[in-house]
Amino acid sequence: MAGGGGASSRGAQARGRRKRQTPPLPLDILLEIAARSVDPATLVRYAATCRDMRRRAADESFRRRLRLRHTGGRFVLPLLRGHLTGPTYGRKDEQYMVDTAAAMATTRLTRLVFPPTPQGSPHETFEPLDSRGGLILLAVSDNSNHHYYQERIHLRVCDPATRHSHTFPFPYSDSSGRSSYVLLVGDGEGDGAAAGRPFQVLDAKLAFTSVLCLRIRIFSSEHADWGPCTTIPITPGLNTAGYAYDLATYSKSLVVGDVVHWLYLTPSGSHVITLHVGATTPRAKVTTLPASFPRAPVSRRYHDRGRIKHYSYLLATATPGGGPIVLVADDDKISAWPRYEGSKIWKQQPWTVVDSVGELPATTSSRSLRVSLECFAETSGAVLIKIYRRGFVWLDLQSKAIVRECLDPRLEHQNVYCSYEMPLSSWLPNFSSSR
Amino acid sequence: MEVDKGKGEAEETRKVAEADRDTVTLKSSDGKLFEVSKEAAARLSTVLAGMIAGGSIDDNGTDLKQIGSEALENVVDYCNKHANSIPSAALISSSISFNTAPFKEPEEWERKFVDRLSHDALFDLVEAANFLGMERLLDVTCHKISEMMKGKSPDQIREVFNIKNDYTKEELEEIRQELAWAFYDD
Repeated sequence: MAGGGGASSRGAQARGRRKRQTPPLPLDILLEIAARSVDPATLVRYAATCRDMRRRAADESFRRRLRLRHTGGRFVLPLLRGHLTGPTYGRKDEQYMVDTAAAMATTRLTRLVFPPTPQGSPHETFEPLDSRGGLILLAVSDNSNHHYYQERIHLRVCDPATRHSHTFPFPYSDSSGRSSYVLLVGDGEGDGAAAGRPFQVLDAKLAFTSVLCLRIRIFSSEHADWGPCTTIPITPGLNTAGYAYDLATYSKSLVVGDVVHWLYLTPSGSHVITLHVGATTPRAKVTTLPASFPRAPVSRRYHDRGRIKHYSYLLATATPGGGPIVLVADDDKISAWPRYEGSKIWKQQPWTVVDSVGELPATTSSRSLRVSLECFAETSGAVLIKIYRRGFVWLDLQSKAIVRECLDPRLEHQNVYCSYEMPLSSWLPNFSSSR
Repeated sequence: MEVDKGKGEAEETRKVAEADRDTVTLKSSDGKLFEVSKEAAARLSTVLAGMIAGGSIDDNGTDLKQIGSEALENVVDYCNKHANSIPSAALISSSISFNTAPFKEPEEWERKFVDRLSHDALFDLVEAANFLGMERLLDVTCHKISEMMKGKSPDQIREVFNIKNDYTKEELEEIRQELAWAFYDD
């Protein structure tokens, strides 16, 4: 037995070592490696190497073994599901997910149905406030008095995929202006978190003491409670005291890592406020966009409103996890105002994202279009654009192409709450034309 | 009689000692012998665990004809290092239900262990780990390869693994268009 059969294989192995190319690794081993891809793009590239890989990667048993852990520093477009929408006025109990995950032109409206809160009244209504990583943050109101103004009673974070949810009371508010509510979703599987993953909800609003401040409270799923209310001075100090600005109404928040951004556009200047929530003592800063940043002239006369110049603004990032950019829509031209790389200073000039939305395929129109920027999907890198009298399209910031469209007239006058993206853990590659 | 009995007892104790031996001997395809902690082998390899439980372990060296000496040396090295390192809670939980458990990042020593390997040694080790049913070692080695492949184009991946491209030009273009998001910056 001893030493048997070993003599010749040594030499064979040595030869094999010099030229590993013969024989190639068995397909089963390649699949083991591919299943452990760290990011979705690498996985897709494995599948693109040969037919067998693609066929086997589309297999259910392979998909079950996927363990993707991060997006690999790139936008992952397939994580985009669509956006959450609901009525602008009146009844607030009919919300939909405009599901554009499938191919173009097959928009599906999914009515969002939320289970009632324990001991809740039968007249509860739910309004999406924010969404991130597959979770949705909802405001729960009681509509039993049928008042126009519905009092918000609870907040709820829910996972529509698993139906897990966590309901908790609204924080005490001094009722001076509406807060911006931002949902922050942690990594990993929080065992204690009722919504499946650890999360935080930030309640932030602007306040004026002697300087401009952010007044914040944070609910964390870990502690299942609100933290203390803290007032954070925004540095450097801005002389905008007395100007009422409702963060929730005028800016969709942008979250990059543990930094939350809001636009702060006052009559005297254009700013971006950032809040580092990850730090033990949160810090708030403000940066000022250049004087060349386009702002519509202010007109107080109502009948002027239709005629004066109109811009639409949205915070986004040009690269995943990168610095913020401010997108500006001017008629149907979209430009992006960036900061200098590695700096907090905004550049004097924007770059052009698209010259004309109306000239892009899928929207081609002889008429001049007016568009507005609705929301940004942070992990897929797409911007939801409303084209007046046409519907909605998703613009991929990287390819500058329209990647999804929902030209459904029913949606035009609906309120857009936020984008909805899947978490990476539930993403599966879709190799539709694999044979 | 008495002598015989005594001999029998000695035999018996020797057998017990054998059964109690805390290492097993493995033999590579080229006949080299390696000793590895029995406990670690049984814990880390489903195949070796089965052989130990089924009594098919050969004291003179259990033949592993599919594994070359260099790869086996690495397998044994890994098992012994694993036996010496204090298993973290993460590792224990990942070995209980490896099919559903999320991947746990390689530990510092595991990272170092695969980092020192050449390309080919790493690939041989993946094959050995697959053959021996060593889920954790597969995780660690595949994770390393997967990190090496990050950002590589399908062409580069084909080259590394010597995969024959059997797609037509049209099919490749179709894939690129369908999955355009995964091919930026190529």
